Amino acid sequence: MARYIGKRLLQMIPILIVVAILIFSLMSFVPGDPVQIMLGDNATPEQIMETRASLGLDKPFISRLGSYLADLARLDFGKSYTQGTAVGAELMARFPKTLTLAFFSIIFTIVIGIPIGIQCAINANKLSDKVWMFLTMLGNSMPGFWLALLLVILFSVKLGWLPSSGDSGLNYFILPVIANSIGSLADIARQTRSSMLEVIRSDYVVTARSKGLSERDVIWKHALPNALIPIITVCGSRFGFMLGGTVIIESVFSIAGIGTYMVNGINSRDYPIVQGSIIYIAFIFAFIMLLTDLIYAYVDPRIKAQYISAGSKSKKRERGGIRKSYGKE
Amino acid sequence: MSNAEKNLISVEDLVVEYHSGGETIHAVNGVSFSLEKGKTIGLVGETGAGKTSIAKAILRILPDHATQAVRGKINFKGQELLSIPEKEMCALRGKSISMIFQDPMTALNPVKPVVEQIAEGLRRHQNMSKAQSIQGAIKMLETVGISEDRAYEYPHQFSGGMKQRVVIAIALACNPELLIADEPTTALDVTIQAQVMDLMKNLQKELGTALILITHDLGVVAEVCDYVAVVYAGQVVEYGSREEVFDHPSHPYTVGLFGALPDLSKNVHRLSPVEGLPPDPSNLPEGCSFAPRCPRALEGCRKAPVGMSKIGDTHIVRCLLDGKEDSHGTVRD
Ligand SMILES: Nc1ncnc2c1ncn2[C@@H]1O[C@H](COP(=O)(O)OP(=O)(O)OP(=O)(O)O)[C@@H](O)[C@H]1O
Ligand SMILES: [Mg+2]
Repeated sequence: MARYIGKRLLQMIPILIVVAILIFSLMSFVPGDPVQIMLGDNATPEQIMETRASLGLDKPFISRLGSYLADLARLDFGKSYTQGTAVGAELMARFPKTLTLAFFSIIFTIVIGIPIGIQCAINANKLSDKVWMFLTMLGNSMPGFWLALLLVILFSVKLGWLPSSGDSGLNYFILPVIANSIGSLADIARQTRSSMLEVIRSDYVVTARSKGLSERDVIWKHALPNALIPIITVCGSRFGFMLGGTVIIESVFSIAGIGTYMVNGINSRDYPIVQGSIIYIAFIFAFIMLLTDLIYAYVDPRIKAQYISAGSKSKKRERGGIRKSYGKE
Repeated sequence: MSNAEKNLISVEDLVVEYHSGGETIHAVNGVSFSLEKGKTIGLVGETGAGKTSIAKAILRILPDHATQAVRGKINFKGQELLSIPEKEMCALRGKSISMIFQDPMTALNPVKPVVEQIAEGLRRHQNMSKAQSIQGAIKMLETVGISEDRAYEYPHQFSGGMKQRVVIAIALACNPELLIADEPTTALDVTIQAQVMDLMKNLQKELGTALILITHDLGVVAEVCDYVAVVYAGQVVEYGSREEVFDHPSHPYTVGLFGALPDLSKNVHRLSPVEGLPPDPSNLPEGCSFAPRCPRALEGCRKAPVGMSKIGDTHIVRCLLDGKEDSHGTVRD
């Protein structure tokens, strides 16, 4: 398994290099001049030339790309054109905010969404199922910012229980987490329901029932672990997206996260900020996908066997590995 | 048959209906049979005849979402299985009544080690600790010919025959009083088939387990069954002791299945194909459901349902001809 993880981590390096080259090239050819935007309409051609030179924008594309990649290799993401601050440091400073929001959002999504899905599957086509499915459809189609505003009006303005904006304490994150999760929560609930329905009807669940296990054991010990396998991937990619920053929620609640940083960077054609954010997002995504695959392997022995045999072809070791991991439970 | 006390299980007028695409599927249409302790009944019949549905109805594990109705009586040791609370049914399942499933490829949970899938039944019914149940499960695996060092593997690491043996081990783990075996040997090669049949016979001898054996293999029926029920379109069309049915097959369908000359001493293994197709279970014929395929069908056969008539000690047949040889026999009402 360690071999597999090592291999996957190494594979991330070429992916990140390609992403870096792509985003750098894209930004260079996108219309809009960062210097023009920085200096405004009244700037003289001399001023523009000067700024251009100081930012290194007068050099040819290839040499700019080369030096950007060389800096990246030293984990230097460059300096913002507009703010003059180091992009890497700024990303690091903003990361905890985004992480807090994303982490609690995905926890909220999983802890609420999956049980709703299970209940719906167990009571499929009964009234409670229909009510929940209607609610999740609402949740799925409700724009996050609208819900965010409703929450602020109720809990901050009317009741005064929670702060409406800022990020200086955990209680500041309660409303953003709810607004941020509703969509994915509804989605996960629906997916859990359909995955669970399929599994509940499978032969091995009938076998489990035929052993005389209680309905609770049948659902939790036999059906759920199988039903969760496809849900893990969905949760993983949702978490990846959340870690990329959520512009709308961050803006509504004035959270200084990665989403707003990147959007501001795009608006002011602040190339280093955009490039740095994109590379960060690519890294986060690759990392979360690796994590997802590992959880996947933990839940599904068939996948695990594939990973291990990809690392070593010996059949004996495969068996030993699985047996050992079972013994640890 | 007459003595109700003697019977371990008696099934009376069992009806199972599914719904599918707005249609009612009449899978089982009034099946009755009974079985004493330690005896074996063979259910034979073509694919789709309703054999598995009968078995699942007894265990009350028919799929909720697809089942429209289950009617009739299933009496097991004085308990009415179709009406007892789910909790009591749970206590019987896997302990007093267990089932070997038809398709071993899908019957095992892919994310649990096989030993655990056997052990959990032991824990449920025999009050064993985790360690004891694992020990018991390993012993069970050895009984069906799987060595201890493969016990912690997952179903995907097993061949079809090995999976079948695990399914059998699960069913036998708690020494059931009634074992329902749904084509238990189809996935196995001949030597293992014999081993598995021996295993079940031994269990029967030692513990007096009654066996409902669903099979396509007439050789197996001839070898192990005390009684035979021939199932056609969800009905028993012929029932009797092994000798009665093999020596005097009386329903035209049975005759067709057994081939021209059925004989206990001969090694007939496969059911012979009968010309034509079974009726659509969502649209059964008014009269005898076999009439459309029957080479000897009479006028009266198509008009009204045909009842059972007694033609031997335990031998009954659902045919207007009552097993008479001549095809011009008089119609009896
Ligand atoms: N879940 C279901 N939904 C709808 N119809 C079903 C369902 N299960 C079985 N049936 C139908 O009920 C009838 C009897 O099926 P059953 O599985 O009991 O047959 P069988 O005798 O066991 O056949 P085989 O020998 O192929 O196993 C068939 O027509 C089948 O199509
Ligand atoms: Mg079947």
